[in-house]
Amino acid sequence: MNKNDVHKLARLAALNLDAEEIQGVENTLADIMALMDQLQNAPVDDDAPMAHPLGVKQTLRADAVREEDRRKAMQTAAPSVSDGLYKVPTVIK
Amino acid sequence: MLDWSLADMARALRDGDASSVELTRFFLERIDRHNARINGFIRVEADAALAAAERADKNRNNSNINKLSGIPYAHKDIFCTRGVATTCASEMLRDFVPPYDATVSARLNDAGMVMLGKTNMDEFAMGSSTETGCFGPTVNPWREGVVAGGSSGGSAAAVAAGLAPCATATDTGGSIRQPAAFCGLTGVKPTYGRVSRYGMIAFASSLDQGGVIARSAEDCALLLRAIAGYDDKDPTSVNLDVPDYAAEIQSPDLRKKRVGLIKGLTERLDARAAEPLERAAEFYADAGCEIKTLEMPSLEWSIPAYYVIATAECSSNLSRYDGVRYGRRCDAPKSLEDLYARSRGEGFGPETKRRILVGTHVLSAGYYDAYYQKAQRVRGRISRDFAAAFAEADVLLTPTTPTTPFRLGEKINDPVEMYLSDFFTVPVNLAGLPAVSVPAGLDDGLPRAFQLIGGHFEESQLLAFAHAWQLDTDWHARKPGGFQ
Repeated sequence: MNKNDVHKLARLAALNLDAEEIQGVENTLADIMALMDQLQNAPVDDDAPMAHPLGVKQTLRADAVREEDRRKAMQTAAPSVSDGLYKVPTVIK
Repeated sequence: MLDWSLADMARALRDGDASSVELTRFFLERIDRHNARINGFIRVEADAALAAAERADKNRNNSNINKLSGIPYAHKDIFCTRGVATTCASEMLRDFVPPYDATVSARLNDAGMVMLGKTNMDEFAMGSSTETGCFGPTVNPWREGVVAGGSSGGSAAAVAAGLAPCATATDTGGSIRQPAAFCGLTGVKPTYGRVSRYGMIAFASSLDQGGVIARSAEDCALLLRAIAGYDDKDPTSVNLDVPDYAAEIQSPDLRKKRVGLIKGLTERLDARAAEPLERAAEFYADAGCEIKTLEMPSLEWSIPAYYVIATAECSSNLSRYDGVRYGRRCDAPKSLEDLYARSRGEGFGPETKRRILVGTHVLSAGYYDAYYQKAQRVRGRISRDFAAAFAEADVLLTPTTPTTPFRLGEKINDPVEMYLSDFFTVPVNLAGLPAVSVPAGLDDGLPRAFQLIGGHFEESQLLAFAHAWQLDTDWHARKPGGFQ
């Protein structure tokens, strides 16, 4: 893992990292990936991947409205709201 | 009141020997006196707590009042509490006030329990020492300069120092059991799906589970029943009745029960660390259990599998923190990309960023099969090995941690060393099993523990095993000095 790899991951993860952070991550990421690379020795290629510890399936419910409109209450935590819409920098110029 | 169990408190409240307001004032006063030293609570809600206590006292004579009504508790700051800031100890959510209650919060409110405040944790539950949060580390009440464990260190420290009689907590890779072990307390991580995750801020959705930390298996049994149960707002919640755990663990009869030890585990411990395990095995043998040694070779890959899955899921879960709808937003964003990247860059601490980056990597094109899929196969193998083990044993007996609590700052700059210390706890989350950490000694004045692992939804049996040990020993009743 080098600086370019870290930059690429930071871009994918939408994470701003300063130069010191990039260096710090570059140093520790190698050790962390070495830990994870141990997985390559696990003899499990015939085992099915398990996504859920109990193997339960997605439950379904009736397609009926259950919630009331609480937009105003839900938006009390928003950084910037106008007329019920979340405000962000211009996307389309 | 400091020595009262939850059942003692319930009895005192029912018989009029104490009021909830008195009980609440008692703990609030202790928090005032001692919390600064240990930083267990990051927010104290004194007025709201006293109001809740008054309500509980007023409702005391209602016939369908919950047994736990009026009893105070400490609430990990990962559970949304309507109108009360919920931060996950992160700059990202420092000022976030949820407009809704987590199901766990709502259930405890409905039960009439009194929330004293929110407790400290590792940021977004990622850590094993409660050192990564933005409100500073929590100090272990048993010794200055020593960690309380993590990520539920605040809850554990608060209970150990007698600032609350019990606490909520969460466990993704050991975050209930390890702090309980480090603070001399009993901590239960229930079966995955037993406790609703609605409103419990997500770290790794297939591993996270809410649970409890208290001073005994009996207390855990009472509090667990209050929070457990089906919730249709959590699609991973399992629709099974919740037993009366406290009733079911009374007069435990362990004769002919089978206790499994896992071959190869004790080799990872030094002799002193292995001692609580040996004493526990002796105790259960004397109680009439058959002690067997079982093989589980797949455990060797549990740490890498866990950290691949946990980081992958965390990178996905934490992508919701984009500065748009809630949480921190950077100043004067120049574009949408800048909004995202700078808000997130400012909002997350180093360990959180590290895990997001690793998770992004293991899920990215070209690496997904080798890491994430492979880890899921290992997870499947570990789960199957546990299922085979439970055909041979009723509970498994293992250490909780490889060491006694380490010093603050000792491991924080070596993430891999920190991760390796989760060896005994993470397999349990991978398999979705219930487990309890039980106090089992003091080593040079610091708490030691063992862990019991049960089959899916076998919490009653698990707690019965723990309770039996606690009827015969008093490690769980020991308290750190200096907290008068």
